[in-house]
Amino acid sequence: MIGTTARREEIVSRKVLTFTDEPKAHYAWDCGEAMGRYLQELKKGKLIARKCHKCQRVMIPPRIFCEKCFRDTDEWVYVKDTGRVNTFSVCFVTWDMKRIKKPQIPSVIEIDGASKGMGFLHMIHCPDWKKVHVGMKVKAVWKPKGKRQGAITDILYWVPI
Amino acid sequence: MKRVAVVGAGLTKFVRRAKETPKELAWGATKAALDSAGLKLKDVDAVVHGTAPDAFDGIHMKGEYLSEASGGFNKPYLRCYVGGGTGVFAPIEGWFHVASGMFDTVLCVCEEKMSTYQPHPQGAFLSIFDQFTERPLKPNLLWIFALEMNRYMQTYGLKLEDIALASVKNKKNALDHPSAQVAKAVTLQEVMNSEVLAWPVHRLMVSPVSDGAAAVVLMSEEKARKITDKPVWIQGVGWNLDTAYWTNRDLCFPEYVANAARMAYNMAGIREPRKEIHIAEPYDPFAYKELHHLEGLLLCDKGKAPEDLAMGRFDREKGSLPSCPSGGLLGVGNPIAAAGMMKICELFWQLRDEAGHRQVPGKPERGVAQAWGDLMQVGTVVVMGRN
Amino acid sequence: MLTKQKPMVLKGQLPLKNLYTAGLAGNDFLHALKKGEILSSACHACGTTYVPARYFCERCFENISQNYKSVSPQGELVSWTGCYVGLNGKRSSTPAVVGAIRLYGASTVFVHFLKVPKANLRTGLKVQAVFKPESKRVGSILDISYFAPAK
Repeated sequence: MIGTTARREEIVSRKVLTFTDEPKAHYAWDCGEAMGRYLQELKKGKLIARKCHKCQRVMIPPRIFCEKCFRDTDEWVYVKDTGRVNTFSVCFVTWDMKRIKKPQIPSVIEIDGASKGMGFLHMIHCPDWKKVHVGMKVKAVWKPKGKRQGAITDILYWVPI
Repeated sequence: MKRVAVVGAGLTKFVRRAKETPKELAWGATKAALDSAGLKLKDVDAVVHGTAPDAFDGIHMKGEYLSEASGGFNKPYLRCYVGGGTGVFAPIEGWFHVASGMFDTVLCVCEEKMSTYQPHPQGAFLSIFDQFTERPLKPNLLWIFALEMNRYMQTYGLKLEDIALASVKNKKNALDHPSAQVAKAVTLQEVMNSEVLAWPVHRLMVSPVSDGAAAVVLMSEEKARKITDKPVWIQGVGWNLDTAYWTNRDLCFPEYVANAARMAYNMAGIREPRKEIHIAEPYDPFAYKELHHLEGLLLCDKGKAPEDLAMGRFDREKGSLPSCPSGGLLGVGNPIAAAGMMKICELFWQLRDEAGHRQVPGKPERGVAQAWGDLMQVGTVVVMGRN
Repeated sequence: MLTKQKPMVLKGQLPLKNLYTAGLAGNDFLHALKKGEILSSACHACGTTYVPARYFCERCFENISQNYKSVSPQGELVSWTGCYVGLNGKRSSTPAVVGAIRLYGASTVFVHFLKVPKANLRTGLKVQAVFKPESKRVGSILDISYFAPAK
């Protein structure tokens, strides 16, 4: 049967030959209109969404078209930098499966002022992670004004209110 | 539309790192599928290939690279790709080819060699996240599963122990599968005591990194009747995608899977899936995913699959709806696209009474296979039956 | 459409690092190169002889791994080019000269470097593999340094 395990010692002794390479994959991503404005507003310490006048949804992250109505969105709307935890995890490993001492707490946060269920991925900071729960009210902690770059990381993390 | 039969199936072993090249893996499964149907390459009219991101095998234009190994030499050949949903979408695309009347005999082949990606194939997933709003947070693939699992548990008040039983069941079922990579008799306590990776996901609730390939042969009714007296019919197909804005919808229920399932059941003339489906092969890369998908497939009430599991409903030998009799991704392994196709192979063997020690008792008439993927947004569903 | 937006660009990179196994046939082929031999595999059903050796025949789908055989290090040039542009898009003064070579006895062609005076480059030229010294071979396609005009 095809499907034979290559054992580590066979690779090390070069009985089983292997090759490595590291292709370079460098990119410059154009932000586009909605994302460009969103990131510029983050630099100012504000969260902005787009509203569709047909379905009345206030959407964050903002987009130039409403995927439900399939038409242009109509209006910029500022939303709050507070919200509720929709779901969260407490992660003890890095992406390459190394153990980390201080766990990370990624969360989907539903944003106050946006339509129900509209949220985005960000990090929670809470010394006692056992206290984090679904429905918990949280508030954004921003980087100092001079250090913001127009990026989602201009918000450092979210803390319980 | 023409009726379409599955007439052959083949698998490689699933292993952590294969000596074989991706081509050699694909050939191994394809050859086994042709041999099982008593066919030669010259009998094949067209080939559909399914494989997940090029990044895994580290070969750009991987579909083209794998073409001749999948039997595509000088033939109409097409690659399809819907992330983790690919393994069940490839036979759907094969079904288009035959049902349309365009081809009589079509090979569907899926391959993945995840071990190539260093230092860990999770890295290949880093770039599925939005480059502006998510990637700067350095997301880990485990996060999205953990976030979905936690939302599922919180919404319905589920017990971790009940979900963990999916790992126990599937790893045990896989002991009877010749391709299995991580088959093992484990206890509930061992699963519960395994390392927490990303709460609530524990190590033994996750499928492994795998290399492997799987293939099936599809045929028109006219041709199939000539070569076999046990054709297995593709009775229904369905697929559906939700928005990639995954943080704008409730992760507690996979609506897109339900949409795909309704489409497939309608086509198969199924009105009461819980009575008319006898075996399920839902996609189980994580323990909770099997249960989440059984609900998406409308085979359980929302939030009730873990309880059904604990009551034994999904047991292979005694359950009323055996689920993942193969051992699933948690037991057999998870070479992404090939893992979905492995489920199609399993239904083929089960519905021909050829599943050996894995055979579900009572001559099951009909089964459903399902895969899932992209940014937690695609459901692909195939219903297969004896008639 | 929206109001005028100042164009913004975000720069980044994808982390890519690969580890490839040579494969069942590739492993035998490369171990043979280390010994200074070039391995072929022939399909007896259709008569195709593959160089480098393969595990299966893509035309007949048969396992041909029992049919490995060393072939002559000599063959003919099927095509060639001199490339003045590097991967970075920049021009170089000395071209990389590569050829498509069919070894005697082989049905298939493969690509390698050429060390042939420019004036002598032509299709049909008889060329020969020049191996690295045995001590420097590692089981790689680069164990052949280049192809030169056959003596």
